[in-house]
Amino acid sequence: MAEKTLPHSAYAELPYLTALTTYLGYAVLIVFGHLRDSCGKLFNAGSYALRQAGQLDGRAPLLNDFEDFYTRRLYQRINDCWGRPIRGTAGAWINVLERVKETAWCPTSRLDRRPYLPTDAVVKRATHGAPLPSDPTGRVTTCLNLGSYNYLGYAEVPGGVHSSVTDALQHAGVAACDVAVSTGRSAIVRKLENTVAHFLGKEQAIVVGMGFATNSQIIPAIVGKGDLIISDALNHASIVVGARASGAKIRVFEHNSADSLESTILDAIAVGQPQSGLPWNRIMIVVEGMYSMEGQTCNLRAIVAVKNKYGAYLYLDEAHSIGALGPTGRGVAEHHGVDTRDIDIMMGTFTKSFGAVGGYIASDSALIDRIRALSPASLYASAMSPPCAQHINWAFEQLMGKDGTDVGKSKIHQLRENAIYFRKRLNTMGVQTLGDWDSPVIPIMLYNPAKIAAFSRECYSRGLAVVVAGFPATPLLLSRARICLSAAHTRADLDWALSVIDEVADITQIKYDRSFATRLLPLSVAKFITGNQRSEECLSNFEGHEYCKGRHCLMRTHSM
Amino acid sequence: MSSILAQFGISLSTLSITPSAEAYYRVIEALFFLLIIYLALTRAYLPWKVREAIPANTAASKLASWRPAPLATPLPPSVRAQQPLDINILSVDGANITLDASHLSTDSPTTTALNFATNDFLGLHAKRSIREAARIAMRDYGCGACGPRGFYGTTDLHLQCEHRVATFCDSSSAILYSFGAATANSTIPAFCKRGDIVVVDDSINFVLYSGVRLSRANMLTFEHNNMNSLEAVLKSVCEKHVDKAAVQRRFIVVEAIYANSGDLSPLDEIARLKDQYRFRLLLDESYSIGVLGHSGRGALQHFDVPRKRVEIATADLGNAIASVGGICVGNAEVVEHQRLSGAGYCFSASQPPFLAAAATAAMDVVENEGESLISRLRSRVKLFRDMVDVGQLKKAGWYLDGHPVSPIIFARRYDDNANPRIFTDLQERCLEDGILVARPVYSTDELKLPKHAVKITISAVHSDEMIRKAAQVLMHNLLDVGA
Repeated sequence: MAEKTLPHSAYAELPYLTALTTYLGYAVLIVFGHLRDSCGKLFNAGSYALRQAGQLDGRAPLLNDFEDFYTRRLYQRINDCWGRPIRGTAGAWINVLERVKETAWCPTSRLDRRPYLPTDAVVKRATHGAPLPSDPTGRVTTCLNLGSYNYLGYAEVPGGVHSSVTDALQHAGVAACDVAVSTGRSAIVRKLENTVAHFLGKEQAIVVGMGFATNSQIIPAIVGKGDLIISDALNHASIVVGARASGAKIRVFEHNSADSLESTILDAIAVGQPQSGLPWNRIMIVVEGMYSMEGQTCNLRAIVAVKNKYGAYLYLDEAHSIGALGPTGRGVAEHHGVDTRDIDIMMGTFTKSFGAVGGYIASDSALIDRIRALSPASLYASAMSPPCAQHINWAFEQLMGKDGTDVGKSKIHQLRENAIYFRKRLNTMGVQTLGDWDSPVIPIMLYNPAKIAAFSRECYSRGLAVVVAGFPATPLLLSRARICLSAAHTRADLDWALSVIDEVADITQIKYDRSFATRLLPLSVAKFITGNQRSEECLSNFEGHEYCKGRHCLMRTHSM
Repeated sequence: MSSILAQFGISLSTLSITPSAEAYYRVIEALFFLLIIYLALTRAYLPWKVREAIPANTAASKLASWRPAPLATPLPPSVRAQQPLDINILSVDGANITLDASHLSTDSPTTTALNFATNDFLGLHAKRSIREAARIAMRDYGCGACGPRGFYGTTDLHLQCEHRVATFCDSSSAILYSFGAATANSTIPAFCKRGDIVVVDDSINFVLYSGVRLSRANMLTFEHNNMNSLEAVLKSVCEKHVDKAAVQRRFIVVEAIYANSGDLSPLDEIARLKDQYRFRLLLDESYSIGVLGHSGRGALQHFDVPRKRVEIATADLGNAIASVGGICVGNAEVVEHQRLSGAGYCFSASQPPFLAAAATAAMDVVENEGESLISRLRSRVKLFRDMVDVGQLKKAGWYLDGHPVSPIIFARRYDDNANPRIFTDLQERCLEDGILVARPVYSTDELKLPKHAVKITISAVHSDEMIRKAAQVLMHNLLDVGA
C-alpha cells in the first residue's frame, strides 16, 4: 500500500453506495430545512421571525434565499467545526478556546489562568445564565494542530520571534500607515523584495501586504481586454476575483490536465476573440503550485511544455508550495525540476511556510515596473507591516543557511519526512486520501455531510485539531478533512495523531479502502476480529509523550 | 401542417381526433416533443468547442500566424512621468522620517525630513502603549496566524479586536479583515448581486469602485456630493423598478471623507434620502475614523446620526488607527453573512494577531484621549490652512482640495493639462527643503480619474513650528513651480 497512484479525479474512488447516502444526506437536510422554514413562516417563530422583522421596512431582504437557507439550515448546524478560536501561537500544539456550544462534548478542557471574557455583554450573559453558543467559557483545550498552514514551523519560533523582528517593531513601528508607492518603500520591504527575487532566480519582485490581494489586485495589472486567461478548474478564489477584475476573457481547463490545457489553447487560437475573431493579444495560463484542498502539486513539466509550444505565458501561484516543496524549499519548480526561467510570473505568499502574512510576485523587471506603477495593490493598498517583513527576511536567511546554521535545511527535510510517513500510515489504515505521495497536505475523504461534523468533533474531543471542508469549498459529494503537516511535528506527535484518527475513522466509518464487509460490522466486532488494541496504544503513546510531561494531560478524563 | 407532420411519420388521422382546437394543441405538443428530441440529439453549441467546425487549414494557419504580444511593454512616458520619487524610508519616528539620501544632492548617506506624507493622523504610529501591546502580542502569538479565520486562524486577540471595534463604533457587531484594500471590495459583492442597484458618488475611491464592479450589480452614479443629483437618481430607480422593490437590493455607496479629494460627504442628508427612498447605505470610513466627531468616533458622531441608520460601514485600519487591516461594522446579519461570503475574509489568512492587538490598543487610546487628540488635530489643520494664502496660490494656478476638517489636503492645478512631471518635481523640492509630502498616483481604471496632486497629511504630532515650516515650504515651492 506504499505509494498509491494518484486517481485522475477525486470522484474515481467514491463508492456508489456512499455517493447515494451522501445525496440522501443532503436531501434529508434540505427537506427538513424547508419543513422548519414552513413552520417558522406559519408560526412566525425562530430564526424566521428575525428575518421577517428585518423586512418590515419595505426594503428587499439583504440576503438571497438560497444563501440564507444554506447558512441557517445546513451550515449553522455544524458551524462549531470552523472558526474555533485559539490562544497563543499556531504551532504544533495549540490552545483552543472552548465555546459554550462545545462544553457538552469537550471534557478535556481546563480553566486557563487568563479567562477570556472579552466584553461586559458576555460577562453579563454568563452571569445571567443565558450565554450565546459562541461565547467563550474561559476554558481551553490543548490540541495537536493538524490544521494550520505551518509547513516549516515558523508560526512558533522557539524562544519567541527573532530579536531583529522586535527591533523592527521598535524602529519602524507596527505599520507603515501609508500606501507604498506615494511616499516610498521602507528599507525592510526593499530588502525582502530583493531576497525573494534572488531566492527564485528572477530579476525583480514586488511584495504586497496580503496574499489574497496579491492575486486579486495584480492580475488586472498584467492582463486586460484582448487577453485570455486559461485557468485551472480548481484555482483559488483570489485568482478568480483577479481574473474577473482584469477584463480579460477567462477559459477554464480540466484540473491539472495538460491535454485539456492544450486543446483549450488550440480552440482559443483557432476561434480568436469572441465576436471580432481577432487573434488574442496574449494568453496567460494560471495554475497553482499545490492545490490546498487536493494536496496535489501541479503537473508543471507538462504544463510548461504546452506553454512553450504555443507561446503562452505562465502564472504560477505558489501560495502553498513555496518553502514547503523542493530540496531547498524553492517550491514546485524545484520539486519538479523545472527551470524558473520557464515560469513567467511566480506568485507566492508568506502566510504559510513563513508564518507571517502577505504575498509576492517575482518576474522580469519590465513587468514588475508595470505592476508597481499600475496595479491597485501598489497604488491603493497599505504597505506591509515592517515587523512582518523582517520576520520573513529572517526566515529566508535561515532557509538559505545564511545564519550559519542548518536549521532551515533540517526543517525542509523534517517536513518531507513527516509528510511521507503520515500518508503511508494513513493509507495502511484504510482511509481514502488525495494528493501526491509526498505532499504535506493530506485530504481524508469523508463524503457524507454528517461525517464532516462527526469527524471534526470526535477528533477535537480527543485533543486533535483538524480542518474539515464541505460544499461549497469542495464539490457537493467530496467533503473531506484536511491534514496539514508541519516540520514542527515530532514523530511521537504524528503517531499519537494517527492513533486518534484511526479510532475516529472507525467511529465515523470512513475507512473506504477497507473491505466493504468489515466496514459494515459493528466496531466492537471488527476490533475483535482484527485484534485491534488501538485505544490502549493511543493512551500509552500520549502519556509517554514529552509534551504531556508537566502539563495537563488531555486524555486523562477521556474514557477509552 | 399535415405535410410537416407527415415528414415525422405522423398524420392527423393517427391522432384520431377531429381537427378541432384540441387537436391543434396536440399537434403543438407533438412538435415541442420533437424539438426536445432534436435538441437532445444535436451537439450543444459551445463556442470554445468549435475548433472542429472551423476548416482545418484555417485553424492551422491561425495557429501558425499567432504571435503573442510581449508580457510587459515598457511603461508609456505618460505613466513614467507621474511616478513619485522612489524614496527609501529607513525609519519613522513620530514627525521625523529618516531616508536614504543617496540619490539626493547631499553629502551624508541619510537625511531626515518632517513627515507630512503618511496617514498617521493622530500620531498613534509612535505611541508607546500601542507598540508595547504589539510586542507582547508578538511574544505570545508569534508573527502570523498561519491560516484563515475558519481554520484555527482566529485568536482571542482577533475576537477582542472585533468586540473593541463594535463598541468603538457603537454597533452590535463587527468583522475584521486582514487587509484594508480587500475589505470594501469583499463586502460589496457579498451583498450586491446581479440585478441589484448600487448608487455611487462619482468620486468614490478605487477600492469601493472595484467592489461594485466585482458585484456585477447595476451601478448608477450621482454627481459628487450633490444631493439633488442623488435624489434624482434615487427617484428614478424607484419609479423605474417599482415592481422589483420587494426583491431588488438597493444601496448607496459613499465615503465619509473622500480619499481622492478630502471632501466631506453630507451624511445627514444622505441618511435622510436613503430612508425616504428605502435604500441601504454603505459608508466607507477609512479616512474618518479617528478624525471626525468630537472624540474621533467617525462620521456618525460628527453628523449625530445613529448607528442603525448606516447599515454597513467599512474602514481601513491603516490610517489613523496605525495598524494593517480592515473592518466592517453592521448588525449581526451583515457581519455573520460576511464570515461565509466575504471573499477577502474566508479565502485569506487572518490578520497577524499583533496587528489586531495594536488596533485594539489604538482604539483604547482614541477612547481615552480622543477629545484632546482630535482638538489638537483640528487646530493643526486649521493652522495649516490659515498659513496658506489661497488667493496667491489661485493666481499661480493652484488650489487646495478638501474640506476644512480633513487632515488630507491635496494641492492641484486648475489647468487640466498640467505636466504630471511638475508634481514629482514638487515632491522632490519639498524634500530638499526638509518636508516629505506624498505624490498619489491613480489607476486609469478609476471611476473618475482624480487630477494630479501632491498630498499633504496633517497629524496631531506636528508642532506649530512644523506646520508653519511645512506651509511656508509648500507655498514657496508651489508658487515657484507654478510660475
